[in-house]
Amino acid sequence: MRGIDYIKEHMFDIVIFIFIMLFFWMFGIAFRVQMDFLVAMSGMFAVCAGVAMVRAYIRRRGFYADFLGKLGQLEKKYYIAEMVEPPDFQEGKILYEALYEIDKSMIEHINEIDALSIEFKEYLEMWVHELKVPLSGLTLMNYNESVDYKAQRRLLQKLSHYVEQVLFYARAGAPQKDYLMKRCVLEHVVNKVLIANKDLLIEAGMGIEKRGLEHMVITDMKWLEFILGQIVNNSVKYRKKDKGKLSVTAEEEEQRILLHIEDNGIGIPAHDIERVFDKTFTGENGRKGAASTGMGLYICKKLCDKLGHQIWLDSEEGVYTRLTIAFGKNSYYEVC
Amino acid sequence: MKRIAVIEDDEQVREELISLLNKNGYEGLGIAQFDGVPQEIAQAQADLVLLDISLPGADGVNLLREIRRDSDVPVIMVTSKDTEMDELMCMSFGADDFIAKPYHPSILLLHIEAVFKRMCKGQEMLEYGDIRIDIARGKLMLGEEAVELSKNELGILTYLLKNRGRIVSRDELISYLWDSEEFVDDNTLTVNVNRVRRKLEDHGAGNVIKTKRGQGYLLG
Repeated sequence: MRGIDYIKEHMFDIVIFIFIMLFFWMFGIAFRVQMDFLVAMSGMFAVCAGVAMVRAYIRRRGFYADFLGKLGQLEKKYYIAEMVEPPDFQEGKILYEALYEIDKSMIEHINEIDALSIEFKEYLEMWVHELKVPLSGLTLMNYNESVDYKAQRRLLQKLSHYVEQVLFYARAGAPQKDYLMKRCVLEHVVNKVLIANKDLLIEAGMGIEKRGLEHMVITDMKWLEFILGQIVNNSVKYRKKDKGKLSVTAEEEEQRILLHIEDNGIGIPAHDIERVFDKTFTGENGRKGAASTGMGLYICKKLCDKLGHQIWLDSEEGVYTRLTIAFGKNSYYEVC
Repeated sequence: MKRIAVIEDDEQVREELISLLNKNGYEGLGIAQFDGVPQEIAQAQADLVLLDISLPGADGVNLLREIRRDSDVPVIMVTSKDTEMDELMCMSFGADDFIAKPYHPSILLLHIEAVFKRMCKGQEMLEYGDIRIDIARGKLMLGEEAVELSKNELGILTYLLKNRGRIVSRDELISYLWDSEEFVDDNTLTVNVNRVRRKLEDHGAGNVIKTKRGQGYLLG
C-alpha cells in the first residue's frame, strides 16, 4: 500500500477540505475575524484532518503489509485466513471474513479429493494383491507346461474380471459424467453378460432361468453389463455344491422397472445383509469361500447411485440371495 | 476357403489370430505394414478384414476409410476401447462389425461367421451324406425333404457337422449354444441331441451321431 496511491485516492476528500477551509477564510474575513485566529484555526483543522488521514493509512498499511507478506511466504495460500489477525477496520473485516469462508470451502474440497485419492490408493494395493493370485497360478502352470486349459481359462477369466473392475472403480468415483443413458432391452444386456461369463457358468453347471426381460430400461449399457457381471460372478462364487440355479427376471411397477437376479446359493447371514454394499465388506462369507476384496458390490452401488438406479439385496442364509436393481421410468432420464 | 486379412501391429497377437483362423476353417493372412494396405488386401483377395483400430503411426479409422474408397470387403474393427463413441465412429465410416478387446475367441469367430452369413446368403451349405444344412436360412435338408429343427437342434447339428470327424465334448456344444443365446444345461443338451438323432433316424439318416462315453459326440 503506497502512500502516494493513498493520497491520490483521497484527493477528493483533500480537495473538499481545501474548499471548506477557503469558505472558512471567506466567512472569517467577512465577519472581520482576526487574522491570527483564522490562521491558528486553519492550522489546527489541517493538523486534525492530517492526523485522521495518516492514522487511517497506518492502520490499513499495517494490516495489508502483514497480509501480503504472509501470503507471499505461504506455500498453501488457501490457509491465509488462519495466518493473519482479523483487522479492526470495516473493509478489512469484510475482506477477512470473506476470505475465511472462501478458504474454508476450498480446504473442505481439497480434503475430499485427498480422501478419494487415499481411498483409491488403498483399493489399488488390495487390487494388486488380488491380481497376484491368478497371475502366480498361471505362472506356475506355464512353467510346468500344464495343458489344463480349463484351469488356465478360469484363472484368465479372474484376471479379466479384476482388470475390468478397476476401470469401473475409477469411473464410479470420478466426479465427471462418464456415462451415456440410452434405452435398451434388458434381455439384450442379460444375454451379453451370460455369454461373457459362460465359461464360469457352464463349468459350475448353473441352470439359467430368464423371465420378463422384454422390458426396456434407460441406462448405460456398458455399466449395467459390468454390474450384472459382478452379481453373476458372486452367484457362482457363493453357490452350493450342486444344482446351482441363476434366475434373472424383470417386473414392471408403476414408476419403475425392477430387475431381479436370484441364486440358490449359500446366502448371507441376516446381520451381514445391511453391510454388503460397504467398502471392502467381506463378512462371514468371505471367510467361508474364496477370499474376496469385497469391492464388487460396493462399486455396483456407487455406479447405480451415479446412474440414478436403486440397488438392494435380500437373502436367507442357506437358501437364496437376490439382488434387485430398480430403473426409474421417469422421463427426466430420457435422452433422445 | 475364406481368406481373412489380419491388420495388427503386435506380432504375437497377429500370429495367434492367424493360427486361430486357420484352426477354424479359414485362411489367415497377416498384414504388418500399414502403407498400401488397400492394395495388399485387394491383391491377396481377402474375403474379410480384421482391423485393429489402435495401430502405431496409422489411425485405424483412416485406414478403414482408405479401404472403403475402393472396396466393399467386409471389415471387422477390433479395439481396446469400447465406448459408444468408438463404435459409432467405426460403423459410420463403413465397418461391418465391431468387437472390443479382450474378446472371447469363440465370440470373435461368431462375429466373423455372422458377417459372412450376411454377405453371402444362400451360398453357405454344410453337407454330409444326405444331410445338407443351409446355414444362412437355418434349414435342414435330408435328401430332398426339408426337416424342421428347433434352434437348439439346428445349432447342435451345425456344430457337429463343422467339426465332423472329431469328438466334440458336451461342454463345447453347450458353450456353442450359449453363444447363440440359448442358455442350456446338461440335461437340455442330452434331450436335444436325442431329438436330433430321432429326427435323422425318421428320415433315414440314422446312426450318424455317435456317443463317445466320457468324451462327447462324434459325427462321421
